[in-house]
Amino acid sequence: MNKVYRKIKRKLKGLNKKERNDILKYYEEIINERLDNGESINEIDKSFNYDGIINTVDEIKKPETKNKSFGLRKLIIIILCSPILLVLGLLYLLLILINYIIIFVSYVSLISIFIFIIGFIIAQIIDKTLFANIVLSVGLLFTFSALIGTILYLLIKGINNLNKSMLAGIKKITKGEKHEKN
Amino acid sequence: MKTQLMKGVIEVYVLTEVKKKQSYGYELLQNLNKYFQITESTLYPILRRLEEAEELETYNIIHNGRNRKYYKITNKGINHINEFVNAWYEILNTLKLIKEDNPL
Repeated sequence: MNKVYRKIKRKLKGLNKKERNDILKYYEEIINERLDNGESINEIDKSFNYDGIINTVDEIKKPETKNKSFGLRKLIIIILCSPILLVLGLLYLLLILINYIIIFVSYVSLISIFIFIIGFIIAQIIDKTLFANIVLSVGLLFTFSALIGTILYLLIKGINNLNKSMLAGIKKITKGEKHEKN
Repeated sequence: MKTQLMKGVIEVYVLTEVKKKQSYGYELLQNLNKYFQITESTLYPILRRLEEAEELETYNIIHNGRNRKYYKITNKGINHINEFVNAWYEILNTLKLIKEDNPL
């Protein structure tokens, strides 16, 4: 079954995922019916018209070429909307940049907290403060630092994910048509 | 030209078969092969075209634990059959007249 299935799949290259899955479902159903009717997988493999699948692919691709006029219409719409799109695009990029700045500031803050804790401990030791006071201060500092650190960590993670999806969005828009062909 | 004609005939045959009884891919293929030499790959674009033209509707039934896609004719599909048959009668009548006027 897998052998036939693989061969069909190979013939369906050039179609988008949905088309490929639809066609594969159809052939899978036919092959299973043939198996149910007593044919062996080798018999099916031998008699299967693999080259005919190319016709199926061609038939499906035909309407795409018919829609060439839509490309021109799409281009006109893009040209007419370009001032708005340009501003929106710049805002989008600006938002991504701001996100990266927030991430950078968050990292700097995390490092600052760490340096501050070390500095504070050293200062307390130099000032010869009571050991109990040092422990209490350091304990409080660690608690607050952990809290701020967690918030900053989550902020970095969240913004990073937001940026990734925003960049993926740009990729999808710019490479959209090429992607569909695959 | 013959190929295009055949496609039209097969389309109408599929519609007629489904009009008689709601059917699935393999069954249609078996019935079609009584009249035409047709393979799975020829039938698929036809079924797809008819489905996209809303002349056929589909639904799924689980058979032996597997999915079976059934085809059902719509009013649009019935109109297609009628128009095709009427057009062919007109062509046949015209051919008959031509033959009568120009005996071989």
